[in-house]
Amino acid sequence: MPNISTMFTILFFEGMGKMKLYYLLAVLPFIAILGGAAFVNKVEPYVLGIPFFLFWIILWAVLCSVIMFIIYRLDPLNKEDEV
Amino acid sequence: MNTPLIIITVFLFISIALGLLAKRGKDMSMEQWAIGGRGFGGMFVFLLLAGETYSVFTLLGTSGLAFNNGAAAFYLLAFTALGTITSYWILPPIWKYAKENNVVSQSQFFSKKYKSTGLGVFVAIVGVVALIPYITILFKSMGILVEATSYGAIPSHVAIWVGMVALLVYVMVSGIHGSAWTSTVKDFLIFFVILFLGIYLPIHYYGSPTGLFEAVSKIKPHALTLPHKGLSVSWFVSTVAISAFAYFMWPHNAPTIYASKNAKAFRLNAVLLPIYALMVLFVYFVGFTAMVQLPGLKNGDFALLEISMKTFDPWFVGIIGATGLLATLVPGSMMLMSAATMITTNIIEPLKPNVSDKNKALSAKIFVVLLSVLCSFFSMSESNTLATLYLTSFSLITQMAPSLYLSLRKNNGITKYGSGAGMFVGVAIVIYVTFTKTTMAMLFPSLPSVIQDLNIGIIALATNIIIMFTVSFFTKNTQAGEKHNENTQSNMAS
Repeated sequence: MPNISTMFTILFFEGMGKMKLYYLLAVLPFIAILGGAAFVNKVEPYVLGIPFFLFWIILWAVLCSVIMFIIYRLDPLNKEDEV
Repeated sequence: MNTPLIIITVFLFISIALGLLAKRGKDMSMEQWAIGGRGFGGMFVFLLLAGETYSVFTLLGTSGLAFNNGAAAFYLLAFTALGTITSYWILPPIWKYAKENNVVSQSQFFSKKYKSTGLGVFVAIVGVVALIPYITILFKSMGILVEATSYGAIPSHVAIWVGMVALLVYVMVSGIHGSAWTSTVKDFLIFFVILFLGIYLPIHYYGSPTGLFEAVSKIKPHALTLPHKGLSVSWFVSTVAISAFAYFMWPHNAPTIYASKNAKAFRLNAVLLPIYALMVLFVYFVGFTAMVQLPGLKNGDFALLEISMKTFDPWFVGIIGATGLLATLVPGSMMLMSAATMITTNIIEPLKPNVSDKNKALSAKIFVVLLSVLCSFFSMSESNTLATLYLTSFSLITQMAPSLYLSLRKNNGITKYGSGAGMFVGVAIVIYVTFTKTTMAMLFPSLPSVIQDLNIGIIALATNIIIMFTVSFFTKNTQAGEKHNENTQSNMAS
């Protein structure tokens, strides 16, 4: 039986060919927040007067906007007036 | 009547007036009432999407969560930042399909995309059920708000009934145009109030935010990090992951998405919304201030209001109360309207196709009233905190995400049976877990706490996805057969 994992793989890679590489920048915040949580779950050091765990999340919220701005500017889709 | 109540009442009348003004000169067809004739520019789309996110829950529930559980509250900022960037890729294709196929509600999106009336009925029911805890949050907040700002003169159950009637009047007269206009007033107010409270309170009591955090770690050394057990790192990661994954699945987000004039608005929103999410930071500051200043407070949901009343003059408490009221009306009206639209398009229309438009609108409105009354009763009997109810709602809507996302692909391998079966099991698990208060620790007593602390929504979502793929695999041929039959029939007809 062409099993479920094959189906997953097909679904996943089918779209990869056309994908713009700079879209991958958007994966960074996910890695930093979801993957990083276990390593940054501490109070010290305070950065700008804010405990480190909270600072890490704030930092990546700001970087989310920065990264999306870069993607927005690079993507030719946004140069068209309509659509 | 005291000063805060007078101010709140004035704002209530202003928002109803705005609702009436916004609708002037527009014929109120379903398409106008629900999705503004698909003519909203980027600014309105931003305000409405942001406005649905920053409800009265942001004010009371988030500060309450910080007050009760400290660092666990940071999950809101984390998932909002991550969730909003998905707007760039997910919303344009949803919008495009909705526009090309005249979709006006989320359940209709499913019924058209999967060509299944049954799936539409099911999604409409799930959507409405998922909105019940959220609308209950709004009514509960309204009760808390008025009870606190009237300094106890008006008990919360009276406030809930009055608030419910206010919300109903507001929904009936205005529609999405009214919500958009009130949203501008509300966003300005909530922005100002949160920023002011979050900056003023720490400085007033501790000299600076750093002073605040030092005071917090003195009385509760572990409040600023996640604990080893319970709301631990694995709870945080799993909750942030599923919440970000399903960020735009709220049934009341759907009308806003369809209301947009173009797709560019969503890509721009992906840039703006994460940084806008930082507003929540200042709500944390308020919750933490209350943690130190109000050690005797039992219910964290009162934290923001109690600390404000302790610190400010009644007139400013009134402004905070008015902000809370608008932050109830805007999302509340969007939720009730989307529930009504789903019921009309996917339950009434397919079951009774001959009903006139006028009767359809009428039955949608009767339904809105019934739903509100139900939620009012829940909000009076429900003993959970606002934050718990919010998580339940979120777990329910999350179940729609997998088959919606996969349906955006050119060749969707998911069948209507797979989609329906997956969602059904996912929703059943969430409801079972909510009512029986089952935890992962009860299901897997011998596993390490890394697994036990996982948000139970993960189990529901994983089961949903597995069933969706499995059933789709086995029903692929059935569905293809049906299509083949349709084709032959239409060939014969022509």
